[in-house]
Amino acid sequence: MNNKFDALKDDDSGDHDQDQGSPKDSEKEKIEEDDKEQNTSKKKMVVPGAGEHPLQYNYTFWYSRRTPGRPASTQSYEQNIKQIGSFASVEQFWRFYSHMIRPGDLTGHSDFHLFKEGIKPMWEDDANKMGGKWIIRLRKGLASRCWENLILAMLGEQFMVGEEICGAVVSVRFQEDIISIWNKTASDQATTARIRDTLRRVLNLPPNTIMEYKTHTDSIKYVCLFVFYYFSLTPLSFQNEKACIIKH
Amino acid sequence: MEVSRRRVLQRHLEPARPLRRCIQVDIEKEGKTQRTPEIISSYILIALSFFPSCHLHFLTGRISYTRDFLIGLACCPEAKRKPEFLPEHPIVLPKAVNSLFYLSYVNSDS
Repeated sequence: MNNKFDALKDDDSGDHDQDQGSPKDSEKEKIEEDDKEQNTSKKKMVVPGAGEHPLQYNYTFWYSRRTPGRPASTQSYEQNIKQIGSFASVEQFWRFYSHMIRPGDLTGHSDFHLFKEGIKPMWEDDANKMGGKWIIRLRKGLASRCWENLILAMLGEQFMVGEEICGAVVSVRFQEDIISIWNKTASDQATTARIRDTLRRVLNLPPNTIMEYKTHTDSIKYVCLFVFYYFSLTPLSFQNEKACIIKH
Repeated sequence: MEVSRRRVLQRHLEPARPLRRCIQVDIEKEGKTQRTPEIISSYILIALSFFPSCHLHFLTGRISYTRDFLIGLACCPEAKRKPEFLPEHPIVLPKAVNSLFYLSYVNSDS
Protein backbone atom coordinates (compact mmCIF):
# COMPACT_ATOMS: atom_id res chain seq x y z
CA MET A 1 0.00 0.00 0.00
CA ASN A 2 1.60 3.27 -1.10
CA ASN A 3 -0.53 5.60 0.95
CA LYS A 4 -3.57 5.58 3.17
CA PHE A 5 -5.91 6.41 0.30
CA ASP A 6 -5.22 3.02 -1.26
CA ALA A 7 -7.41 1.55 1.47
CA LEU A 8 -10.42 3.24 -0.05
CA LYS A 9 -9.34 2.49 -3.57
CA ASP A 10 -9.12 -1.17 -2.64
CA ASP A 11 -12.83 -1.51 -1.96
CA ASP A 12 -14.43 0.57 -4.65
CA SER A 13 -17.21 -1.78 -5.67
CA GLY A 14 -20.13 0.48 -5.08
CA ASP A 15 -20.86 0.07 -1.40
CA HIS A 16 -18.04 1.36 0.78
CA ASP A 17 -19.41 4.85 1.33
CA GLN A 18 -22.17 3.86 3.71
CA ASP A 19 -21.44 6.60 6.20
CA GLN A 20 -23.93 8.31 8.44
CA GLY A 21 -23.61 11.83 7.05
CA SER A 22 -26.27 14.32 8.18
CA PRO A 23 -28.25 15.51 5.18
CA LYS A 24 -29.82 18.96 4.94
CA ASP A 25 -33.51 19.47 5.77
CA SER A 26 -34.59 19.60 2.14
CA GLU A 27 -32.61 16.46 1.46
CA LYS A 28 -34.25 14.77 4.46
CA GLU A 29 -37.69 15.48 3.00
CA LYS A 30 -36.56 14.01 -0.27
CA ILE A 31 -35.33 10.89 1.51
CA GLU A 32 -38.64 10.55 3.34
CA GLU A 33 -40.47 10.85 0.02
CA ASP A 34 -38.21 8.24 -1.51
CA ASP A 35 -38.75 5.97 1.49
CA LYS A 36 -42.49 6.35 1.12
CA GLU A 37 -42.21 5.47 -2.55
CA GLN A 38 -40.06 2.46 -1.74
CA ASN A 39 -42.39 1.28 1.04
CA THR A 40 -45.42 1.61 -1.22
CA SER A 41 -43.72 -0.41 -3.91
CA LYS A 42 -42.82 -3.02 -1.30
CA LYS A 43 -46.46 -3.37 -0.31
CA LYS A 44 -47.44 -3.80 -3.94
CA MET A 45 -45.69 -7.09 -4.54
CA VAL A 46 -45.10 -7.63 -8.24
CA VAL A 47 -46.43 -10.84 -9.73
CA PRO A 48 -45.83 -12.50 -13.10
CA GLY A 49 -48.42 -11.62 -15.74
CA ALA A 50 -50.63 -14.23 -17.35
CA GLY A 51 -48.60 -16.48 -19.64
CA GLU A 52 -45.29 -15.00 -18.51
CA HIS A 53 -42.32 -17.01 -17.32
CA PRO A 54 -42.00 -16.66 -13.54
CA LEU A 55 -38.64 -16.24 -11.84
CA GLN A 56 -37.62 -18.12 -8.70
CA TYR A 57 -37.45 -14.77 -6.84
CA ASN A 58 -38.64 -11.23 -7.43
CA TYR A 59 -35.80 -8.79 -8.04
CA THR A 60 -35.31 -5.01 -7.81
CA PHE A 61 -33.10 -2.77 -9.93
CA TRP A 62 -31.30 0.04 -8.10
CA TYR A 63 -29.04 2.81 -9.37
CA SER A 64 -26.60 4.97 -7.45
CA ARG A 65 -24.25 7.76 -8.39
CA ARG A 66 -21.87 9.83 -6.34
CA THR A 67 -22.38 13.50 -7.13
CA PRO A 68 -19.22 14.87 -8.72
CA GLY A 69 -17.43 17.61 -6.82
CA ARG A 70 -18.82 16.60 -3.44
CA PRO A 71 -16.83 14.54 -0.96
CA ALA A 72 -18.38 11.22 -0.02
CA SER A 73 -18.34 12.02 3.69
CA THR A 74 -21.21 14.49 3.45
CA GLN A 75 -23.50 12.16 1.61
CA SER A 76 -25.54 9.30 2.87
CA TYR A 77 -25.32 6.12 0.86
CA GLU A 78 -29.06 5.56 1.17
CA GLN A 79 -29.71 9.04 -0.14
CA ASN A 80 -27.77 8.32 -3.31
CA ILE A 81 -29.40 5.05 -4.15
CA LYS A 82 -32.49 5.10 -6.34
CA GLN A 83 -34.94 2.25 -6.78
CA ILE A 84 -35.76 1.75 -10.46
CA GLY A 85 -38.33 -1.03 -10.24
CA SER A 86 -39.13 -4.64 -9.37
CA PHE A 87 -40.05 -7.58 -11.54
CA ALA A 88 -41.26 -11.14 -11.09
CA SER A 89 -40.99 -12.70 -14.54
CA VAL A 90 -38.53 -12.97 -17.41
CA GLU A 91 -40.66 -10.72 -19.61
CA GLN A 92 -40.89 -8.06 -16.90
CA PHE A 93 -37.10 -8.20 -16.48
CA TRP A 94 -36.55 -7.53 -20.18
CA ARG A 95 -38.98 -4.58 -20.03
CA PHE A 96 -36.79 -2.90 -17.43
CA TYR A 97 -33.49 -3.98 -18.91
CA SER A 98 -34.32 -2.81 -22.43
CA HIS A 99 -35.34 0.61 -21.10
CA MET A 100 -32.16 1.18 -19.12
CA ILE A 101 -28.84 2.32 -20.49
CA ARG A 102 -26.02 -0.21 -20.48
CA PRO A 103 -23.34 0.02 -17.79
CA GLY A 104 -20.71 0.71 -20.46
CA ASP A 105 -22.57 3.93 -21.35
CA LEU A 106 -22.67 5.21 -17.77
CA THR A 107 -20.38 8.05 -16.85
CA GLY A 108 -18.75 8.99 -13.58
CA HIS A 109 -18.94 7.12 -10.31
CA SER A 110 -22.11 5.06 -10.94
CA ASP A 111 -23.48 1.67 -9.94
CA PHE A 112 -26.28 -0.60 -11.08
CA HIS A 113 -27.53 -3.02 -8.43
CA LEU A 114 -29.84 -5.96 -8.98
CA PHE A 115 -30.97 -7.49 -5.69
CA LYS A 116 -33.67 -9.85 -4.57
CA GLU A 117 -36.78 -7.92 -3.61
CA GLY A 118 -36.63 -7.02 0.07
CA ILE A 119 -32.82 -6.98 0.25
CA LYS A 120 -31.23 -3.54 0.14
CA PRO A 121 -27.84 -3.33 -1.60
CA MET A 122 -26.18 -2.41 1.68
CA TRP A 123 -23.87 -4.18 4.11
CA GLU A 124 -26.25 -3.40 6.98
CA ASP A 125 -29.18 -5.33 5.53
CA ASP A 126 -29.99 -8.47 7.55
CA ALA A 127 -29.46 -10.66 4.50
CA ASN A 128 -26.02 -9.17 3.86
CA LYS A 129 -24.47 -8.56 7.26
CA MET A 130 -22.97 -12.05 7.58
CA GLY A 131 -22.17 -12.21 3.89
CA GLY A 132 -19.54 -11.25 1.39
CA LYS A 133 -18.95 -10.76 -2.30
CA TRP A 134 -16.87 -11.97 -5.19
CA ILE A 135 -15.23 -9.03 -6.98
CA ILE A 136 -13.90 -8.98 -10.52
CA ARG A 137 -12.13 -5.93 -11.87
CA LEU A 138 -12.62 -5.38 -15.58
CA ARG A 139 -10.80 -3.24 -18.06
CA LYS A 140 -12.97 -0.64 -19.77
CA GLY A 141 -15.22 -1.95 -22.51
CA LEU A 142 -16.19 -5.26 -20.91
CA ALA A 143 -18.73 -4.16 -18.30
CA SER A 144 -21.93 -4.36 -20.39
CA ARG A 145 -21.31 -7.89 -21.63
CA CYS A 146 -20.16 -9.21 -18.26
CA TRP A 147 -23.04 -7.53 -16.38
CA GLU A 148 -25.57 -9.03 -18.80
CA ASN A 149 -24.09 -12.49 -18.44
CA LEU A 150 -23.91 -12.18 -14.67
CA ILE A 151 -27.53 -11.11 -14.15
CA LEU A 152 -28.85 -13.68 -16.63
CA ALA A 153 -27.06 -16.41 -14.66
CA MET A 154 -28.47 -15.04 -11.41
CA LEU A 155 -32.05 -14.75 -12.67
CA GLY A 156 -31.83 -18.18 -14.29
CA GLU A 157 -30.68 -19.75 -10.99
CA GLN A 158 -27.45 -21.00 -12.53
CA PHE A 159 -25.41 -20.68 -9.34
CA MET A 160 -27.17 -23.63 -7.67
CA VAL A 161 -26.48 -22.44 -4.12
CA GLY A 162 -30.04 -22.41 -2.83
CA GLU A 163 -31.05 -19.17 -1.13
CA GLU A 164 -27.48 -17.90 -0.84
CA ILE A 165 -27.34 -15.28 -3.59
CA CYS A 166 -28.41 -11.77 -2.51
CA GLY A 167 -27.69 -9.72 -5.61
CA ALA A 168 -25.18 -8.35 -8.09
CA VAL A 169 -23.53 -4.96 -8.64
CA VAL A 170 -21.72 -3.33 -11.54
CA SER A 171 -19.63 -0.32 -10.58
CA VAL A 172 -18.41 2.09 -13.22
CA ARG A 173 -15.24 3.86 -12.20
CA PHE A 174 -12.70 6.16 -13.84
CA GLN A 175 -10.12 3.66 -15.06
CA GLU A 176 -11.86 0.31 -14.62
CA ASP A 177 -15.23 -1.28 -13.98
CA ILE A 178 -16.02 -3.75 -11.22
CA ILE A 179 -18.67 -6.44 -11.08
CA SER A 180 -19.54 -8.26 -7.90
CA ILE A 181 -21.99 -10.84 -6.65
CA TRP A 182 -23.11 -10.86 -3.03
CA ASN A 183 -24.02 -13.91 -0.97
CA LYS A 184 -25.51 -14.39 2.51
CA THR A 185 -22.95 -16.54 4.31
CA ALA A 186 -19.31 -15.57 3.89
CA SER A 187 -18.13 -18.45 6.11
CA ASP A 188 -19.67 -21.12 3.85
CA GLN A 189 -16.64 -22.07 1.77
CA ALA A 190 -18.43 -24.68 -0.34
CA THR A 191 -20.95 -22.06 -1.42
CA THR A 192 -18.40 -19.35 -2.16
CA ALA A 193 -16.31 -21.84 -4.17
CA ARG A 194 -19.35 -22.87 -6.19
CA ILE A 195 -20.23 -19.22 -6.87
CA ARG A 196 -16.61 -18.56 -8.00
CA ASP A 197 -16.63 -21.53 -10.38
CA THR A 198 -20.01 -20.58 -11.84
CA LEU A 199 -18.83 -16.99 -12.29
CA ARG A 200 -15.79 -18.15 -14.23
CA ARG A 201 -18.00 -20.27 -16.46
CA VAL A 202 -20.82 -17.81 -17.15
CA LEU A 203 -18.53 -14.82 -17.66
CA ASN A 204 -16.14 -16.87 -19.76
CA LEU A 205 -13.21 -15.35 -17.91
CA PRO A 206 -9.64 -16.07 -18.91
CA PRO A 207 -7.85 -18.37 -16.43
CA ASN A 208 -5.55 -15.58 -15.23
CA THR A 209 -8.44 -13.29 -14.20
CA ILE A 210 -8.06 -12.25 -10.57
CA MET A 211 -11.15 -12.89 -8.47
CA GLU A 212 -11.26 -11.61 -4.95
CA TYR A 213 -13.65 -12.60 -2.17
CA LYS A 214 -14.31 -10.01 0.47
CA THR A 215 -16.53 -10.38 3.53
CA HIS A 216 -18.72 -7.39 4.31
CA THR A 217 -17.45 -7.31 7.90
CA ASP A 218 -13.88 -7.01 6.55
CA SER A 219 -14.97 -4.20 4.26
CA ILE A 220 -16.54 -2.33 7.20
CA LYS A 221 -13.45 -2.90 9.39
CA TYR A 222 -11.20 -1.73 6.56
CA VAL A 223 -13.01 1.58 6.18
CA CYS A 224 -13.23 2.06 9.99
CA LEU A 225 -9.50 1.35 10.37
CA PHE A 226 -8.69 3.75 7.56
CA VAL A 227 -10.77 6.51 9.17
CA PHE A 228 -9.22 5.80 12.61
CA TYR A 229 -5.61 5.84 11.39
CA TYR A 230 -6.17 8.76 9.10
CA PHE A 231 -7.63 11.02 11.76
CA SER A 232 -5.48 9.84 14.67
CA LEU A 233 -2.05 9.59 13.06
CA THR A 234 -2.11 12.19 10.33
CA PRO A 235 -1.22 15.80 11.23
CA LEU A 236 -4.17 18.19 10.93
CA SER A 237 -2.57 20.32 8.21
CA PHE A 238 -1.96 17.22 6.07
CA GLN A 239 -5.57 16.08 6.59
CA ASN A 240 -6.87 19.40 5.31
CA GLU A 241 -4.55 19.22 2.33
CA LYS A 242 -5.78 15.70 1.48
CA ALA A 243 -9.41 16.74 2.00
CA CYS A 244 -8.91 19.43 -0.64
CA ILE A 245 -7.49 16.82 -3.01
CA ILE A 246 -10.57 14.62 -2.49
CA LYS A 247 -12.90 17.54 -3.15
CA HIS A 248 -11.19 18.48 -6.38
CA MET B 1 -1.66 -66.84 -5.23
CA GLU B 2 -1.35 -64.83 -8.42
CA VAL B 3 -4.20 -66.70 -10.11
CA SER B 4 -6.60 -66.43 -7.18
CA ARG B 5 -6.02 -62.66 -6.87
CA ARG B 6 -6.92 -62.24 -10.55
CA ARG B 7 -10.13 -64.23 -10.03
CA VAL B 8 -11.16 -61.98 -7.15
CA LEU B 9 -10.57 -58.88 -9.26
CA GLN B 10 -12.55 -60.30 -12.18
CA ARG B 11 -15.47 -61.15 -9.94
CA HIS B 12 -15.83 -57.51 -8.85
CA LEU B 13 -15.52 -56.00 -12.30
CA GLU B 14 -18.87 -55.52 -14.01
CA PRO B 15 -19.46 -53.89 -17.38
CA ALA B 16 -20.92 -50.37 -17.27
CA ARG B 17 -24.65 -50.40 -17.80
CA PRO B 18 -26.65 -47.72 -19.58
CA LEU B 19 -28.63 -45.33 -17.36
CA ARG B 20 -32.08 -46.59 -18.39
CA ARG B 21 -31.18 -50.15 -17.47
CA CYS B 22 -30.06 -49.01 -14.02
CA ILE B 23 -33.50 -47.52 -13.39
CA GLN B 24 -35.24 -50.69 -14.52
CA VAL B 25 -33.15 -52.83 -12.19
CA ASP B 26 -33.89 -50.50 -9.25
CA ILE B 27 -37.58 -50.63 -9.93
CA GLU B 28 -37.56 -54.39 -10.26
CA LYS B 29 -35.77 -54.72 -6.92
CA GLU B 30 -38.34 -52.64 -5.12
CA GLY B 31 -41.22 -54.38 -6.86
CA LYS B 32 -43.07 -51.11 -7.40
CA THR B 33 -42.42 -47.81 -9.17
CA GLN B 34 -41.52 -45.72 -6.15
CA ARG B 35 -39.83 -42.40 -7.00
CA THR B 36 -36.65 -42.45 -4.97
CA PRO B 37 -34.31 -39.42 -5.23
CA GLU B 38 -31.92 -41.51 -7.36
CA ILE B 39 -34.64 -42.35 -9.85
CA ILE B 40 -35.82 -38.73 -9.98
CA SER B 41 -32.30 -37.47 -10.64
CA SER B 42 -31.96 -40.07 -13.41
CA TYR B 43 -35.19 -38.76 -14.96
CA ILE B 44 -33.76 -35.25 -14.82
CA LEU B 45 -30.57 -36.39 -16.58
CA ILE B 46 -32.61 -38.07 -19.32
CA ALA B 47 -34.85 -35.01 -19.68
CA LEU B 48 -31.80 -32.75 -19.87
CA SER B 49 -30.37 -34.84 -22.67
CA PHE B 50 -33.56 -34.33 -24.69
CA PHE B 51 -34.34 -30.71 -23.69
CA PRO B 52 -31.03 -29.06 -22.78
CA SER B 53 -32.30 -25.48 -22.86
CA CYS B 54 -35.65 -25.91 -21.14
CA HIS B 55 -36.41 -24.94 -17.57
CA LEU B 56 -36.95 -27.99 -15.39
CA HIS B 57 -38.62 -26.43 -12.38
CA PHE B 58 -41.32 -29.09 -12.45
CA LEU B 59 -38.62 -31.66 -11.67
CA THR B 60 -36.08 -29.79 -9.56
CA GLY B 61 -38.41 -27.57 -7.52
CA ARG B 62 -36.47 -24.43 -8.52
CA ILE B 63 -37.24 -22.26 -11.51
CA SER B 64 -34.10 -22.18 -13.59
CA TYR B 65 -33.48 -20.93 -17.11
CA THR B 66 -30.46 -21.09 -19.35
CA ARG B 67 -28.95 -17.94 -20.81
CA ASP B 68 -30.09 -18.85 -24.34
CA PHE B 69 -33.65 -19.41 -23.16
CA LEU B 70 -33.74 -16.01 -21.43
CA ILE B 71 -32.25 -14.25 -24.45
CA GLY B 72 -34.84 -15.94 -26.65
CA LEU B 73 -37.61 -14.30 -24.63
CA ALA B 74 -36.09 -10.82 -25.02
CA CYS B 75 -37.48 -10.54 -28.54
CA CYS B 76 -41.14 -11.15 -27.65
CA PRO B 77 -43.46 -8.08 -27.73
CA GLU B 78 -44.25 -8.31 -23.98
CA ALA B 79 -40.57 -7.88 -23.21
CA LYS B 80 -40.30 -4.62 -25.20
CA ARG B 81 -43.22 -2.77 -23.58
CA LYS B 82 -42.20 0.09 -21.30
CA PRO B 83 -42.86 -0.68 -17.60
CA GLU B 84 -45.78 1.34 -16.17
CA PHE B 85 -44.02 2.82 -13.15
CA LEU B 86 -40.58 3.53 -14.54
CA PRO B 87 -39.25 6.75 -12.94
CA GLU B 88 -38.00 9.64 -15.02
CA HIS B 89 -34.27 9.38 -14.75
CA PRO B 90 -31.23 9.97 -16.98
CA ILE B 91 -30.54 6.23 -17.06
CA VAL B 92 -34.06 5.41 -18.25
CA LEU B 93 -34.45 5.30 -22.01
CA PRO B 94 -37.58 6.62 -23.76
CA LYS B 95 -37.62 3.64 -26.13
CA ALA B 96 -36.54 0.05 -25.69
CA VAL B 97 -33.02 -0.73 -26.82
CA ASN B 98 -33.52 -2.64 -30.01
CA SER B 99 -30.67 -5.07 -29.85
CA LEU B 100 -29.17 -6.83 -26.88
CA PHE B 101 -25.56 -6.25 -26.17
CA TYR B 102 -25.07 -9.91 -26.83
CA LEU B 103 -26.52 -9.70 -30.33
CA SER B 104 -24.62 -6.56 -31.26
CA TYR B 105 -21.48 -8.21 -29.91
CA VAL B 106 -22.02 -11.26 -32.10
CA ASN B 107 -22.79 -9.08 -35.15
CA SER B 108 -19.68 -6.97 -34.67
CA ASP B 109 -17.57 -10.12 -34.39
CA SER B 110 -18.95 -11.60 -37.58
